[in-house]
Amino acid sequence: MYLIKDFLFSNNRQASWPKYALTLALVIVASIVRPTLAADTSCQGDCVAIGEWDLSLSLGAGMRSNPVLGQDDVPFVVVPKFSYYGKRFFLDSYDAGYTLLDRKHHQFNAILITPGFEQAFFSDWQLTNQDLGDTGSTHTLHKRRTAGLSGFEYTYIHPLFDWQTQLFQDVTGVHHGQKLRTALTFPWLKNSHAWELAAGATWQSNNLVNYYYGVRGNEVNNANFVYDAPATTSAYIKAEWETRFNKHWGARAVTSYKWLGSGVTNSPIVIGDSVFTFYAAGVYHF
Amino acid sequence: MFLRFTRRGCTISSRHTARMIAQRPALTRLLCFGALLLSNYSYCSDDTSVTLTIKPKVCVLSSAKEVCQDELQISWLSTNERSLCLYQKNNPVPLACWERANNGSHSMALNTSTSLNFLLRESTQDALLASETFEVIHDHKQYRRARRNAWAFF
Repeated sequence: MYLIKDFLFSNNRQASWPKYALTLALVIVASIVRPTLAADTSCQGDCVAIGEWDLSLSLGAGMRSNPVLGQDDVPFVVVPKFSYYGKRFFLDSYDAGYTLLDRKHHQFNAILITPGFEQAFFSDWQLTNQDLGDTGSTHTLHKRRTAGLSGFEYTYIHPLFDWQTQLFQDVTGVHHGQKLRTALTFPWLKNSHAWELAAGATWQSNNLVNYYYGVRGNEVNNANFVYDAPATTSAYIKAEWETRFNKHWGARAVTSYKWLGSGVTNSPIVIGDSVFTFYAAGVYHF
Repeated sequence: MFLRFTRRGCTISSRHTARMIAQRPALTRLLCFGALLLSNYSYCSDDTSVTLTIKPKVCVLSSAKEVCQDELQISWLSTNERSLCLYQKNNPVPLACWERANNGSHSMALNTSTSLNFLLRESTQDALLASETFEVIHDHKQYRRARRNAWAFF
């Protein structure tokens, strides 16, 4: 609700033009694409029923390391996963989107809204300038909030791999930044075991990086602690395994490793240069 | 009653088990179960002396499949000897005829997207003795390709 309100009523005109341009682009593309495109799908083995909810609950153990100063690693125990597909609209866990083109080797989606997960590293945020080593009067470092992003996503689907590229713009006025990411995924299905290996890179604009990892001049007494973050690129690899024992029960495990870009690692509030994630769980499918 | 499931549908022919139905998607389950209830009786003629049976009785088609392809077994049983012919409705040419018999069977390859009616008539008087319907039910569930998401939070 906050995201919608902020999107509609944000009064930062200077930084708002990209989100209005993006909204306009989304509307134009959605209106000129023939309505039959989504029905021309050629799903094979990756089909989902239109109009049905798919809900699963994972119960297991895992964590994501937190590179931010004074912040705990993020634990994972219960992880819900849900999706709903209309003919063109879809809700895929945290992403709402609209399929503009779905062909044998190509899928093009408009992502209406997806949360930027950068905020997950700042959930217990109480840092002050004193924590950075600054002396003098105490200032609280600015709050990092979750941004809502919109954009486009293109996937090239080869029998042996998927290549996906996404371009996002903050449409909630949180940081006014952009994000571009691309990844190669190799899926492998044997018997009831599904494996996936992925590798990719993410570029984040200076507005985005600066909002989460920057230190403002009015937050410190010593100007040496001010950090104006530049745009940066990070890379990641991911391995995932999932199996089904029967109609309701299954298991899954996922691990990933992310190399943070220099725009992040040079920040005075960052003490790590990577993010490691691991999670293994039993899964109940409703 | 027996249920035989195709990739996204089912054909019902004799005894079934509830567990097999339960493994199907909800709409298919409902359709199969409804067909199952309907199929618990066989049509009998007015004098109840001729019974016509067909196997399978129902085919449930998903939107991905256009026709039911199966082998249909049609059999009849009478308490006394009769001369009969088996017809498919709206077709004047009989599928099979029997002379002075008290039972008979006929099998045929099915390739249909619509329900089929089968009629058993007396050879001489053309009187309708029994009829049975092979029912085709369309499950209009539609499918599409799932979205890929290389950056799923998990």
